[in-house]
Amino acid sequence: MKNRLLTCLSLILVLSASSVLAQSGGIRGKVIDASNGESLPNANIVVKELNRGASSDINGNYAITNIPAGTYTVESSFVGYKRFSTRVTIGEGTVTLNINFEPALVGLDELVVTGYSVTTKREVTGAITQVKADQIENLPIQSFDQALQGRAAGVQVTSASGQPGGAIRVRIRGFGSINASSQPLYIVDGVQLTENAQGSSQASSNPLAALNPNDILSIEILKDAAAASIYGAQAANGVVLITTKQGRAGTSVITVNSTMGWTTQPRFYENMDSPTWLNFMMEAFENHAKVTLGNVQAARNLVLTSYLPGCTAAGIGTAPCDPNQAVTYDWQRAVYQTGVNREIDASLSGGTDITRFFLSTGFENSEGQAKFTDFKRMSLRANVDHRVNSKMTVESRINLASTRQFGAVADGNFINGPFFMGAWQQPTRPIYNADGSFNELVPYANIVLYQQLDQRKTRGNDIQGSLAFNYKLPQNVILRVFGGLNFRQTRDTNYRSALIPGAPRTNQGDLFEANREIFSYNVNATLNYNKSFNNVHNVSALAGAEYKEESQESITASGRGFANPLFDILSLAATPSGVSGTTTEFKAASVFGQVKYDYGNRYLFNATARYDGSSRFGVDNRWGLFYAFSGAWNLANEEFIPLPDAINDMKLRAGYGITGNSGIGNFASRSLFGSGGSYNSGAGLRPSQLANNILTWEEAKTINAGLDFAILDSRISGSLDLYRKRNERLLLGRSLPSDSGFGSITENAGAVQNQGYEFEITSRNVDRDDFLWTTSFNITSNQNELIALNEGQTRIGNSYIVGEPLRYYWGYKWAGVNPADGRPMWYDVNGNITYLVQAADEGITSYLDPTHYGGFTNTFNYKGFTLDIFFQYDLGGNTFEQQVGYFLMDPGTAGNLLTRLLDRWTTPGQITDVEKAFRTRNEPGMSSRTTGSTWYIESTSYIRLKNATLSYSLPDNITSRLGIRNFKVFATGQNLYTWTAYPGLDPEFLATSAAPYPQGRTVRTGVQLQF
Amino acid sequence: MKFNSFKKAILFAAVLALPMTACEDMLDTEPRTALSPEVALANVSGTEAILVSVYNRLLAQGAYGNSLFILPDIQGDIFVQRTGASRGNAPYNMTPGGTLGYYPYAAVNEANYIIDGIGTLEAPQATKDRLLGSAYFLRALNYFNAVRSYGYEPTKLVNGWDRGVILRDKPTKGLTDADFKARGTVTQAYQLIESDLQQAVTLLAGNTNVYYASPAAANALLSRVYLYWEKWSDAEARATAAIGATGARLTTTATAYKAAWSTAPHPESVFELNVNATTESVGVNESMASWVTSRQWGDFGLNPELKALYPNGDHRLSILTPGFGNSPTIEFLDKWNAWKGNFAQNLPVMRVAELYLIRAEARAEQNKLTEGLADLNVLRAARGVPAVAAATKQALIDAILLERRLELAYEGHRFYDQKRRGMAITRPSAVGANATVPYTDFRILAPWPVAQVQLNPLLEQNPGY
Repeated sequence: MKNRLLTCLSLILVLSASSVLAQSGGIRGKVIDASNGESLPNANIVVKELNRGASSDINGNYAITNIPAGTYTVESSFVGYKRFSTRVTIGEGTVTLNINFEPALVGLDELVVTGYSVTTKREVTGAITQVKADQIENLPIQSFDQALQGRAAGVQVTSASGQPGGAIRVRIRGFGSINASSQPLYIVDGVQLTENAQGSSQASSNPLAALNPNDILSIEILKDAAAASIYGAQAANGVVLITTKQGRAGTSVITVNSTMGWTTQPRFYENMDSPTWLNFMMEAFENHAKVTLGNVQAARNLVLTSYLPGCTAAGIGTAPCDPNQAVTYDWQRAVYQTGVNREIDASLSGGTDITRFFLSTGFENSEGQAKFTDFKRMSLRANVDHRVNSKMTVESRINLASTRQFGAVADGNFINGPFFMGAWQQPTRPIYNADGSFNELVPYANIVLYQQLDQRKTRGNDIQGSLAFNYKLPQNVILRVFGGLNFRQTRDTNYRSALIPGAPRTNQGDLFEANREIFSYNVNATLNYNKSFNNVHNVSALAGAEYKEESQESITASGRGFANPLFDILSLAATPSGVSGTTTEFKAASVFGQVKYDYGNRYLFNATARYDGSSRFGVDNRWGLFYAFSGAWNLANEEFIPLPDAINDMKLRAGYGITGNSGIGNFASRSLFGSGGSYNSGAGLRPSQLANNILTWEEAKTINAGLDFAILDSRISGSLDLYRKRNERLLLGRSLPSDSGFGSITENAGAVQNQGYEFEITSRNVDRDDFLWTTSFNITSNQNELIALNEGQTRIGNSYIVGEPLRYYWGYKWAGVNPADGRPMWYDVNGNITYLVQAADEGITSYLDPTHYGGFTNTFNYKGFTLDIFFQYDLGGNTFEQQVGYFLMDPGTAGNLLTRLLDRWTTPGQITDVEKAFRTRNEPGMSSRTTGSTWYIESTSYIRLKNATLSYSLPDNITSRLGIRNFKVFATGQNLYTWTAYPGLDPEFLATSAAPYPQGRTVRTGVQLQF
Repeated sequence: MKFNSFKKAILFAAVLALPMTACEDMLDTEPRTALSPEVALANVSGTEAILVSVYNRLLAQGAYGNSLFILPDIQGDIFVQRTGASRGNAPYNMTPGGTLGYYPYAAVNEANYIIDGIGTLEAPQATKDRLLGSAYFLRALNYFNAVRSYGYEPTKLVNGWDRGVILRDKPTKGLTDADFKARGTVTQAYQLIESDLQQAVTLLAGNTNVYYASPAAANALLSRVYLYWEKWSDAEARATAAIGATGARLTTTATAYKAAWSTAPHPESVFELNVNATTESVGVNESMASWVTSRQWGDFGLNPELKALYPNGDHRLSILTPGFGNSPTIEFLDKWNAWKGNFAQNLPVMRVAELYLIRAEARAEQNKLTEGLADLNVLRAARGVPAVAAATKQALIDAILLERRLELAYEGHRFYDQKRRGMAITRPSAVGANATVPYTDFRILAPWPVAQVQLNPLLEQNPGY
C-alpha cells in the first residue's frame, strides 16, 4: 500500500521516471567514501564506451550486467568527491569493482548549500560565495559575521562597534533600500533568525554572537536572485546560510581549543598637552577680545583662571598660573586598558552508520580595550543525525548560549562616551585627587569615574533549535519536514549609584532595567527529487511550503533612591520612576518550488518560484510571486569546443529574477492612533500614521552574469560576476506637507540600482612536497544610484536626490582661509567666496560609499607550519567628521583640541588651511567656523592587516607515538595594522563619525588538541 | 485498497497546500499598542485622550518645555552665553535660520479632530462644550505662537510682506486631506485665532482649573493677541475680563515671590501646565533647568546689563542665583528651578502680572495715561519697588516695556515685544559690537522648514531665506 501511495504522489508531482534496463552479468561492487568507509547511495557508475551504467542502491551496491568482453573505462562521479575513473577488463563472469571516492572539496566540486538543498559549485547557476570553517576557526572574533569581512566578494562588512560581541553591518551588493531593512536574511541550519532583533541599550550587541564561530562548518552567501529567490519576499538583501559541523561515522574525535589573548587600542587622537592647549586657548580668547573690543589681557587671564586648576585672579603672573608649567593629564589613554581574552572550547564528534553526532561546548571571556567592557559567552551545541531505518532519517540541531556584556558609557554617543570624552577633556584637569579618589570637579564628566561606576550590563539568552525528518520515498523523492525555533531574551541593567556625582547622587542612585524577548519559529515541508536519465538528463525538483511567526515584546522599568550604592535591585528602589513596554508581531506564509535540469553536465537550467504572504502589507496587497530563471554552460564538458589543455574548468552562468524585501515595520500599512503622551494624569491618544491598504514589498530585479574557471591543473581558479540589481517599489515615505499633521505616508515608489562586479581568484603559487603557497584575492566594485522617488519627486529634502547615490554628504564647500586676516571662507551657491553661508549654498560635496573593497590572503604551508596573512581593504570612501571632528577642532567648546590646529593662521599673508584661533565659534557677522563643510570631510580609504595567523602542527609520526590525532599551536592577530590617512580612531565605521567604540587590536595564542 | 491509498495521497497533497487555503487568517495580526481610528474616536474617552495629547505637545522641548520660554530670550537681550558653551549658538548669534519657528501642526491636527468629531459625539452637552472650547483654545494658542514666529504682526508689515501661516481647520483623516496649501495672511491667522478664543470663552464657561483651558485663560490669551494686533481697547477689555475671571493674585513679598516659583500652581498663574516630573520631563540635557540654570549645562546666564536694571530690593532678585557646578561663571534667575525633580517644574504659560502689563500698555496707547500708570505701579508695588511717574505717553510706554523685560525675563517675551512694536532687537554687548538687529532684517522672521518649501509648490518662503 505504501508503495502505491508513493506512486500516486509521484504522479501528483508529474515526475515520472524510467530506469536503465537490467541485464545479466558484468561488473558489481560497492561505492564507498574512502575517508570513512561509509557507503554512498545514488552514485552513477558508467561504462563509458557503452554509454551504459547504473546507480548504487541504499547500501552503496551496484551492478552492471551483460557487458561484452573487452576493456572498458568505468567512470563515476559523486557530489563532493573526486571523479573516479579506471580501466576494467571484462571477460567471463562478474568482475568486482569497489569504487572508493576520495573527498575532493576543491574548485567546482565543493559542496554548496543553496537553501533547502545541497549541490556542488559545478551545478550552481547563481551567484554564491562560500566561506569555510578553516577560514574562521580560532579567529579572535565573537560572531561569525566579522569573519566575512574581506573574504567574500560582494559582501561589505563593517563594524558598528568595537565592543566585544558588538554589532556588525553586512551589506550584500550595496544599499538597495532607503527605509526598509538592508540586512540580509540569516538562516542557521534552517532556522530563520529574526531580522530586526531589538538591540540592547547598554552595550552594542549582536544576536549572531550567540553562535560559537568554531561550531560553523560553512557559510554560504546567496547574492543574486537566481540563488536567493527560493526565499522570496525576504531575499532582496541576499541570504546568509550557516551550516554547523556534523560528525562522521568512525572513530570519535575530541577537539579542544584553548586560547589566550590581549586586546589593545591601536590608534589615538593627536591632541594637545596642557601648555600647548592653554597657549592656543589664550590666543583664541585674545583674537576674540580684539574683534569684540574687549580687554585683551583680561581675556588671556580668563583662560588661565578658568581652565588651569589652582590659578586664581590673584595668582596671575606666578607659577600656578604659568601655562608653560601646567601638568598634562592624559585622559585619552586613561580610558583604555589591555583587555585580556580567554576562550576554551571542546567538541566531540563521531558516530556510526546509524547515528552521527557533533557535541560542543565553549566558554569565552573577552575584555575590550576600553576599561570595564567585556563579552562572555557560554554555549552548548548538540547536533545529532540518526537513521531510523533505510528510509527515514532524523536530524536535530540545538544551540544554547548565554552571553554577558559590560558596555561602554554611551556606546556610539559622541559626547559622553569614553572614546570621545577621553580625548576631549581639558588636559589640565587631574583625573584623580591627591588621595586617589576621583576628581569630580571637571567640566562635563569624569569619564574614568563613569567607566568604573556607571554599570551597563546586558545579558542574552539564546535558544536555537530544529528538528527535521527526512523520508525517502520511492522514485528518488525525499520528503523533509522541518521545524525550527529561535528564542532570544536580552536583559539590560544600567545602574548609576549615588557614588556618581550629579543626577545619580541627587537621586540616590538610578537603576534602569529592560527585558526583551523575541520568539520566532518557522516550519516547512519539502519534497526533493533527484534523478538521472540515460546518464545525461539530470533532473532535480523541489516543492515546499513554509510558515513563520515572530513576536517581540519588551518591558522596561526604572527606579531611584537606594539606601546603599551596593543595592542594585529594582525592588530596593525607594521611588519607581518609569515603566514602559512594547509588543509587536508578524506572520508570513509561503509555498515554493524549484526545478533544475542539466544535460550531460553541460547545459544547466534552474527555475525557482516562491509565493509569499506577509501580515505587514496592506490588506489589499498581501501576496506576491517571486521567481528566477538561470542557466549555465560548462564549456569544459563540451566535446565540440576544443578547450586548451590548460583550461580545466570553464563555466558561464546567467540569471534573472525577482526577490522581495519585506523588512519594514510590522504595522506600517495600517492607520493608527498610538500613545499620545500624558497630561495631568490623563493618558493621551494621537494619530500616528495614515493607512495605505496597497502597501507591499520592495522588489529587487537582479541580472547576473558570471564565469567560473579553473586553469593550469586547477592551480588557478576563480570567478567573475557582473550584476545589476534594481530595487523597485521601494517602501518610501511620501512626504506629506507636514502642516497636515503627518510627515509622510509609506508607499511603494521609486527605485535604487546597484551594479558592479565581483572578482575572486585563488592560486596555488608553489605546490611542492612540503611547501604550499596559496594566494586568494577578491575585489568588489559597486555603484549605487537612486533611479526614482515618489511620482513627481526628484528629491527627499537634501537627504536623497534622484541620479545620485543614496549616501553622500550635503554641506558647504570650504574655500580656505583668507591669508589677510585668517577668517574662514566658503563658497556660496554662485561659486563666490562668502563669510556668511546660507542654506541655499549647500550641496553635495562628497560621496561616502567606498568604490572598491575586498581582501587578499596568502597562505604558506611548510611541513607542519601554516602562515596565513590576510589583508582587507576599502577604498574610495569618505566620512564627515561631524561630531568628533568639530568638537576636537573647536576652541569654543573649551575641550582639548587636535594638534593639527597648530597650523592655524597667525600672521597676515600666511597661507594655511586652518583659520585663526577664535574663542567662540564665530565672529560677529560670520558663519560659525564649525559650519559643516568639506573641511571636515575625511577619506576613509584603508588597507588593514586584518589577520595574521601562524600555526604549527606536530608531524604524524610524533602524534601517533603520543596517541593523539593532532596537536597544533598557533598565534593569531586581528587588526594588526591599518594604513590610512583618516585621522580618527577607526576608518571602518559606516555612518558619519560619532565616536563609537573603535575596534581593538587583538593578539591571541592558543593550542588545539585532537584525539 | 488502491482507492484508499489514492485518498491518502490526495490528503497528503492537501496538507502541503494548507497554507494556501487558510492563508488570509494565518496572516492576521493586531497592533496591540495602537488603535484604529474607528476605535479611537468612537467615544468620549477617546476624544478626551486626544485632548490630552494636545496638552502633552505643549510640554515638549519645542514648545513650553524649553523653546517657547527661552529661545526668544536668547534671541533678545535677556541672556548671555556662558564661556565655553556652544548650544544655542544659532539663536544667540541670530544666524540666518537660527530664529525660532514654532511649528504647530501636529497639535492643530489633533485639535481639529476634536472640533470635527464633536458633532457626532455622544456625550453630555457640558462635556462636549468643554472638549470643543478646549480644542479651540489650544488651536488658538498653537497658531498664535506660530504666526508670531513666521510672520509680522498685521500692523507692522515690512515691505508689505503679509504672509502668515498655513491655516488648517479640518483634520487630516486620509491621504486626500493632506493636500498642499498656501500660507494665509497674518490677518487671516489673527482672525481665526480671535474667533477660536471668542468661542472658547463662551464654551468654557464654568471651568476654572488653572491647569486646563478656562475663560480666564482664553481671555488672557486674547488680550495678548489684541496687544500684538494693536487693538488696544479690545486688549484692555480682555485683560480686564481675565483679571476678573482668574483666581490668580500677585505676590506681595520677596519670600512669597520666590516661593511662588516652587509652588503648584504658581499663585500668579492664569494658565499653567502641570508637569509630572517622572514621565513628562524633557530631561537632563534639554530641560530649561539644564540650559539656563547651573543644574546641568548652564549654557546661558542672566545678561549682566539686565541684572543692573533691577532696582535694589526688587523681589525679583530673590531668585537671582550664583552659578555652580559646570557653569560657575554665570548668574541666573531661578524661574526654571526643576523643583519637582528630574529637571522638571510646572510651566506657567500666562501669569496675572502679564495681564497688568498688557492692560497698562493698552491703556497708555489709548492715552489713558493715569489708568495705565496705575496698572504698572500695581505690579511694581507688588514687586517691592517704587512707583514710577511717567510724564508722557512715550515715557509710560518705555517704562512698561522696561517692566516687561524685568518681569517676564526667562519667559520668552522680550524678542516678540520688540518685534511687535517694530523696534530693533537689542542684544547684550557680549554678543559683539553692532549686534543690534534692525527691525527690517530678514532674520526677525523664522524660515519655513526648507524641506516643506521644496515639497509644497504653494508654500512661499519668508524673504531673505
